[in-house]
Formats: sequence, C-alpha cells, structure tokens
Amino acid sequence: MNASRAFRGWAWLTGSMIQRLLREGMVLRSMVLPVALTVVVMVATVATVTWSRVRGVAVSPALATPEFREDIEAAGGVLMVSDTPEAVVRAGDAAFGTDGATFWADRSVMPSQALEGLIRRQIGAAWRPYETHERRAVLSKSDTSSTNAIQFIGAIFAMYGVVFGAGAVARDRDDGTLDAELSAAQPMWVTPLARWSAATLVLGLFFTMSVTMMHAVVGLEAPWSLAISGATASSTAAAVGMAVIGVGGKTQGFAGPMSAGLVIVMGLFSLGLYEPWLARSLPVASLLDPNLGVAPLIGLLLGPLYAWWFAARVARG
Amino acid sequence: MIEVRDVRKQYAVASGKPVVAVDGLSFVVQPGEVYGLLGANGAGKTTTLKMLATLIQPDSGSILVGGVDALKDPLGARARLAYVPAEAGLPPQLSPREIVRLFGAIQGVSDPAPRAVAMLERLGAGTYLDTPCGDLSTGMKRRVVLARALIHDPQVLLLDEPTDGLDVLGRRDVLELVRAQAVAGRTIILSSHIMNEVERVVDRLGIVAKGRMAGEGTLEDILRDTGKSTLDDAFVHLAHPGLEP
Repeated sequence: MNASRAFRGWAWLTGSMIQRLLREGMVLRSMVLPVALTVVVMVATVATVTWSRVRGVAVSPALATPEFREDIEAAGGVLMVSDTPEAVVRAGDAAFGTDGATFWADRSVMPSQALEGLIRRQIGAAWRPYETHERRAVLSKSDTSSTNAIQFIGAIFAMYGVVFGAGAVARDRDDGTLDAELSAAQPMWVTPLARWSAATLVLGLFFTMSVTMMHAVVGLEAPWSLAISGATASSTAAAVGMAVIGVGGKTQGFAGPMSAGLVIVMGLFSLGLYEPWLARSLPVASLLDPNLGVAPLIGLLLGPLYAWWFAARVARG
Repeated sequence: MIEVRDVRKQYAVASGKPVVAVDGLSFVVQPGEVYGLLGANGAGKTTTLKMLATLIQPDSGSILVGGVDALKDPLGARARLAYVPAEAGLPPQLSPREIVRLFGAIQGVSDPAPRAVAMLERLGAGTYLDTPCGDLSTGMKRRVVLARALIHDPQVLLLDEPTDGLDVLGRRDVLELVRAQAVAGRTIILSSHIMNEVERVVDRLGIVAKGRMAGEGTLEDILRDTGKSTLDDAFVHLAHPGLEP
C-alpha cells in the first residue's frame, strides 16, 4: 500500500518537476546553447579550413596522366597542368608543384601529406609520406578536439546540475511548495527523490542529445561512455546542489551554499584531470575517462542517499 | 479532532543557547470548529502548525490528528490533514488544474483530474483553470491553494496566515471559504496576527506568546477574563503585559 503510494507520488512529482523545468525558457536555452554553439563553431572551422585550403597540384604536362589525375582528385586535390608549375605555386594557386625533377611546396598553406605523397610517388621520389591506414584527415583531427569539447560541455552540465538541484529545493522551500508536498500522505523521501530524478532525467536527456549531435556531426571517441558519464555527472551534481541547500538553510541564503556545491563538483572534475585513476573512480571526474568504471554507478546512488538523508533531517525537525 | 498535549520544541542555533519556540503548549480543537492561533511574529504559531503537519518533530509532548498519533504514525496523520503554508507554494509554470490534479494524485485520490476541476470551480477559480499560476492575482492564488488542500477531503485543515497579502475583498472571500469548511465538519486551525479577521471567523482562540499559551477560550471568554473591550487590548494584556499603557 505504502510502496505503491510512494511510487505513484514519485512518478507524479517527477513528471511535474520535468514539466516545470521544460517550461522555463532559460533552462531550455542553457541546455541547448552550449552544444549548439560548439557544433556550429567546429563545423564552421572545418568548413572554413576546407574551403580556404589551396588544393591545387601543378605539374608539367608529361606527368599529368589520367591515373594520376584520378588519384589527386580522390585525395581532394585539383590537378593543374602547366609548363611552369613553379610559377603556379609561387602565385599561390597551387600548394604543390613539380616538373618531375624539382618539387615545390608553398609553406604558407596547410600541408596535405596525402597529396604530397601522391606527387612524390608519381615522380619516383626517394622518399614520400607513407600511409599506414586509411583515415579522413579532418575527422581524425576533430575526433580528439570534439571529445575534449563534449567533456567540458559535460562539466557545464554538471554545474547546471548544482544550480538545478539547489534551485529546486531553495526556491520551493522559500515559496512553501516544499512544505505543501512534504505534508502530503506519502513518505518524505519521495519529494526530494522526485526532484533529483527530474533533474537527472532532463539533464541526462539533453546531454545525451548533445553527445549524439556532436558524434553525428564531427565524430567522438567512445560516445556512449561519454553520454553515461556525463548524465551521471549531472545527477551527482544535482544531489550535491540539493544537499548543500539542505545544509545551508535560509540563514545562509542561496548563493553561499550553491557556491560550495559548484566548488565540490568542479573539484571532482579537476581531480579527474589530475589523476587518471581518480577519473575512473569518482563521479563527475569520470567524464574524463573513456572507459566506464564504477564512478557512474556511485553517482546514481547519491540521489537516493540524498533523499534518505533529507527525509531523516526533516523528520528530526 | 486535534489534541495537542504539553508540546515542546527548541531549536539549536549556531550562536549558542538553544531557542525555545514552543514551550508546553496544549489545546484541543473539535470537528466543525475554527480555532484561531494568535500571536506576534516569532510567538511559535508556525512551529506549532508544522508540528501538527508532521513537518517538525516535537522534542516532547503528544499530538493526535483525527485520532491518529502524529508522532507514531506521521503518514496516517498526514492522510487526515492538509497544511496550507503562509506562502502560496504554487509553482508559477503550472496551471491551477495541473497543481490540484497533482496533489490529488499524490494524496491517493482516484481519478484526480475531474475532481480537481470540480474543486476549483466550487472555490471560484473555474475561469482560470489553465492560466499559469504566475499570472494569477494573490486572491485567486489563495483559492487555488485551498482547492489543493481540500482535494483529498481532509478532516483537518491547518492554515498558516491564510489572508497574508490579500486586500479587503480577498480577505473576506477567504474567510468565508474557511467558515464554509468548518460548516462542512472539518477541524480547522488558523494562525494569524490580524485581530479583526480572527474575530470574524473563529469559534475559539488561543493566544500564544513566547511559545506558551497565554490565554484561551471564546472571544467573549477572553474579553471577560481580561476585562478588556477589544481583542487588540486583550491580546496585548495577555501576550505583552509590559506594553500596556
């Protein structure tokens, strides 16, 4: 009887909290904007670099065989046939040029070792870049930087977790909502657990969407591991945010306890930067570890632990 | 019915000596009765109501709510009461319909949606069913708060400063609604520091000062016992004798 009432109360209160969060324009914008801006900036960077790269390869007519043209175009280059390839390179129209005896490269443009390798192979040069495996140059570059970007977006979501958690308790405590809910005929842990669940679900959903978008557009290493670590980092942070307000109370106001919560969460993240084994073991820090360890599980246990502690505190008066 | 016996509560404060908020308070309120808990700010009214609502545990004493021991069975006591805090406690993003339905659901009301609408209409908030609570007037918010409190048909209604922030008309409306609930058989405790509203609505009242019951009875009893002609004067005489002219 009590269990079914508790579950029913939890489900309704969680749904109601999610409704409230999603109806706040600022909350939505704060969750969508970081990843949207990051993706736009990364895509724009890739597009600009691709567009601005000098892709011309100037060669003398004798070297311009149909097979060579196909290879150059497959590597993203443009074959330019000229009696004076050096002049074409010096004019900035081609990145590389050769007459079969001499190789010219414009050092002011972004080099493409793939194109250089093809030219050197065509003229039978003594050395050339050797391709060990096939990989798209732009993506291999962005794999790392996009993973770093989403890790820091995860840290931002963790900070949101503190703000959501602290706000969900402090605001509702100050305007009487919390007292009205706590005086309902259900176990007292239901109210804090529902708040934590709502924050976890909303932040986790938006962070997972962010990871999915980043992975689809620019590529990520271990996207699911990142999504799980990020979602649980937010849930840990929400529990921390709620707990610091529970400790702080009205006498300490809102800013002080929330700052303490932010310091705790950013401290956890920093520990992950400092020591890899801490990143495997601690929630929030686990954002920096590509392998899933016990940290996300620990993070998820903090919410129910907080709810139990909150109920015990209220019951003690 | 509510029965409070020798209840005491003190708070630990960081600066040292604990503060005694409620000091051996006792009173009984019968079904169909409106009991006014009068006192200055900090007298212990809200702490008393929160102990009745099981939101704060007393250090000693006993509390019965609708025949249930609130200390031994807080869940059972909460099922029989509704607590209305001084602040409205209405999330501004939700509509009256959503809030009252939510409380119906968590209070265990079966099929809470139609009941929520009926309750809001009965209390005169039917035209604002889907308006976000952030856009409602203070008076309308009070109606919604009452609908939220009554959705599970509680035996006991605990109202903390129910007319705070209301204009004259809004205050009159709320007091009439409160009176109607008593006529319906509910046990009602209303805390206030506004004397004339208490006079209008309560059957009996208790004057609390420094956590103790300074005087109790009907308005007539209190005026007779103190020899004063107004409740204001009687209140000052009982609660703050040093301030009498």
